Amino acid sequence: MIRLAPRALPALLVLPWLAVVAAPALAASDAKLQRQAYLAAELAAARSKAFYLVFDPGAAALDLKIEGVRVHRFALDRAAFGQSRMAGGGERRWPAVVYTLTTDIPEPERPRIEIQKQEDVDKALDEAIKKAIARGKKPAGELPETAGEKVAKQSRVEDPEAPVSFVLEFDPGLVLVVRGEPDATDFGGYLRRLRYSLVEGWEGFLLWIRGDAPAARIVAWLPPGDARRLYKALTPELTLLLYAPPPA
Amino acid sequence: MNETTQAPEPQESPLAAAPVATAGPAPRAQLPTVLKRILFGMAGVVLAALVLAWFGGYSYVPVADVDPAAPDPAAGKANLGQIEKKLAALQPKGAYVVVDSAQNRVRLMRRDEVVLEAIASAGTGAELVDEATGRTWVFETPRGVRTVLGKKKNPCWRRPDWDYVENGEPLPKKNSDRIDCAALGKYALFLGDGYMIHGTLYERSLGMSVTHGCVRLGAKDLEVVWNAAPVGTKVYLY
Repeated sequence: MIRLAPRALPALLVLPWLAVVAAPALAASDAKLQRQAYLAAELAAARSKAFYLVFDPGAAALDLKIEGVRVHRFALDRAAFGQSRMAGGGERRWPAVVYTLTTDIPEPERPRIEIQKQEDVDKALDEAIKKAIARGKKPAGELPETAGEKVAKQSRVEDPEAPVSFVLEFDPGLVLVVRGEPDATDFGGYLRRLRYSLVEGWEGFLLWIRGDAPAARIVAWLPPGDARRLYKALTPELTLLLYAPPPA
Repeated sequence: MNETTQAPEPQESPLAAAPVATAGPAPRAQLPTVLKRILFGMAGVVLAALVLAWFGGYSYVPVADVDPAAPDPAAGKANLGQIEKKLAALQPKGAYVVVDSAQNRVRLMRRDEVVLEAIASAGTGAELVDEATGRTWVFETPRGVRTVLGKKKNPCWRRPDWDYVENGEPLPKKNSDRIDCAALGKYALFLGDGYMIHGTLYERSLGMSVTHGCVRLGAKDLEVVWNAAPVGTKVYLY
């Protein structure tokens, strides 16, 4: 052994150099595999002719896509990845590349159109307007309110619009918490965050008591209008993909 | 009558020898002790709740700092270049139209470039029930991918049954009585199943969800879309 040591010495000296040289190559091969996995999943999603979401952690954005075409980009104000302390923290790694929405999306409440009475329509429609419409011309006078306009006005008053803050569960093991509110740094914002983390903590604790492993989660802050738009774009069993950039 | 009742002689109780609490400083001293116990108890509960919330809670990092999912060796079999080509082949070659029904917006796109962003009107999402026949209609703009199947200048509209029901009018006996050549504006692009992108007499309600499922545009914007979107143009509605 002692006699072999001088011969092994050059090899021992080369090992750290090899590690330094090989590490980026391994990383590049991993990045290529990740890119391949993402693109293969995107191709399958694009061919499904259904909407799907792509989450880009680097850009902090959520893209709504169909057939490979991005129809809307939800730019997030901030996004954080959380892991349960009960689950032991561990390495911070995305659970998978492809996820399926498991949360039920309730059918929206539909306002009912009130059938108009013919005499009211006749009264509202001026003779000149009637004649113009019959001739296929755009009438000059003010047109009476349509059923659609009545519904739109009524909806604005009565309809509780789509939620701005909601939780979406995906399989395998990912929860997306959407907060359609500014991530305020003032005292009010601090109190809100405290409330969220308390509720989140107790929920996690209850899960742990039940023996369930709390899933990893993304908390995404975005403007309220965008949060509503995202909610309205959800479909049952929506696919969520984790974007992988091209290898450097 | 005059019998008097004598109060029973108080019997000496074993406790009699015990010191009797007297109104003095002692009870006042006990009150803060009780309060203290309550306060300590409450503080303990709050502390326990906070500790449980902390242990049950999550530790967060920015999403960009999270490692990618473990690569699937099976994915390595796929050819990166081939997948990229297949994905690129799905992209529309020319112009395409994106309809945002929630915000009542239409975008005319060419590759990733926005050629036009227009205010539109999409479906109300409302329901119409004809109580006489029990027929029901839901006026929602469809979602998904459609294609411009046909185009017509100065289109006439054949009023469907629901338009008569909604307006409380009797259904006409002749088909020719259903024709309305004013409602659709100057151009119509047909998307199938009776859905269209067309003009309107009601430009005042652009930006509102007021239609029966079609997408209405103002006259100027409609002309731009009409000129840029030939038959076969993809329309993405969400």
